[in-house]
Amino acid sequence: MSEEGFFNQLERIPRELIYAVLLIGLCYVLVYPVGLPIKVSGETKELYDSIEELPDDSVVLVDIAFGAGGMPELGPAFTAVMHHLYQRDLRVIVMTLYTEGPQMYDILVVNKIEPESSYDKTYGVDWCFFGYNAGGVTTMAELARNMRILETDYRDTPLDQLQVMEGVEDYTDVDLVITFSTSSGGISSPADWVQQWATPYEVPMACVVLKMMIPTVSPYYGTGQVDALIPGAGASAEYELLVNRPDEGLASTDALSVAHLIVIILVILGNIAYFGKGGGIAT
Amino acid sequence: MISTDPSIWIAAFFTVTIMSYAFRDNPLFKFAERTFIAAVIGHAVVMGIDSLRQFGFNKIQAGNIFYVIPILLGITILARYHSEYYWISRYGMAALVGIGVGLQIRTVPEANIVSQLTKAITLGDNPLLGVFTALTTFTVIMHFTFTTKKIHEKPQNVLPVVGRYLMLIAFGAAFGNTVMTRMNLLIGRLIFLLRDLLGLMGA
Repeated sequence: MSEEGFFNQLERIPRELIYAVLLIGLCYVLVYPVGLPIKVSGETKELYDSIEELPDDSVVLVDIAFGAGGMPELGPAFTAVMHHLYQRDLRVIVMTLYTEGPQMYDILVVNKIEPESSYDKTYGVDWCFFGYNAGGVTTMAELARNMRILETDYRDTPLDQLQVMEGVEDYTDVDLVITFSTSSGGISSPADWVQQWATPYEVPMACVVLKMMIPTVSPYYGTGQVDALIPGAGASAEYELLVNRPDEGLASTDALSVAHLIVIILVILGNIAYFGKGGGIAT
Repeated sequence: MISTDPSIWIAAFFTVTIMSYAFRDNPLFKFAERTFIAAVIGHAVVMGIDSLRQFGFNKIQAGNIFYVIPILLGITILARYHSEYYWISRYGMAALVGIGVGLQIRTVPEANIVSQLTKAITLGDNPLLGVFTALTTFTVIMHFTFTTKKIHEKPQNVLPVVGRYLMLIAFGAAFGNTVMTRMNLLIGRLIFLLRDLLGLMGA
């Protein structure tokens, strides 16, 4: 085989072969984990500390801005952070502007975390869920000024009858907002929260986002408009370690490392083929 | 132990059929795709109607007749599908755009312009990072400045070239992050198949 033929073949590895190698590699480390060491990053510790430093009875507003599509990445991070919130004596208000938000709440909070049995928490006293509310950024902005525009929670219980809502009228009563978002510019994006809550009212804000959203949200983190920013991928495993609740985040860590190794090898092979053929320089 | 829960098997079936598209398009993938879209639309419609009930009809029934106004404005948008009366939809759209712009203009300049510019021109806690941020901002602006060709001629073209390489570094980071997110989605489904369906992973 000529040298150019070799590089041509290297550039045209069948995608079926790549997927097969990826699937076999991932399945193997998921069934037989290697147990690679995990170091808690400064950013993850920052979010952990921002919750840990809240005085008892503080109000935390949690926004579910992801659906089934974002669940593999944000689900483990959401679960780990919610575990932390329930481990503390905080008042947790969960809300969503996503139509799939109530399903995520049922799957992850009601069925998985089970705050009543796991932490002896009572719905309406320690936490509540507003349910789905339409309106996107309009609702978000209005909530900052008046939480009571929502008259009932998702069980149709009037907010006035919920002990957890006592004295919670507007943004001044909220000590921390945490948004779990897959939205870069749509409904309930971190940018919306920064524009409607964090910047005008200086409400402390934490964002847990898809790894690929980090470059778009980090400018807000750099300026201090967002106090903590972590990606779901990787950071969920670190958070599970911090709250001592090993789950899917930790289970996927080895697989993520293997996936990256395969992608890096492919990038190197692609570059070898590219430069081997002359690097695209016109001759 | 392999799951005997029918819902797990249905979820597994749709997971595998959707993944099969990675190899090539096929009828099973099309079936799963259409089922997914139908389910999402059905769910969204139900949630929308429930929202109308909660924030519209219930309030009107309670005597707040002003809630008729947003409902009427919403209905006007449907006129878009009528060839003769499509112009009526402009009222609804105008209300939507007006409210949206009003909300954004109040905070976006401060959140997206003033704060970012302040950060870009001040050194902050980390002077080295501050200088790097300012350099990146300046050189990238140079790269996209086409008012005069001289900027892109030697020897001063070093600034736009530096800006281009800095952007490429940012795009590389974005690509790496995107790959990680996509892999995480795949791993999430594999965990479901291996643990929940086949019982091959520990709890």
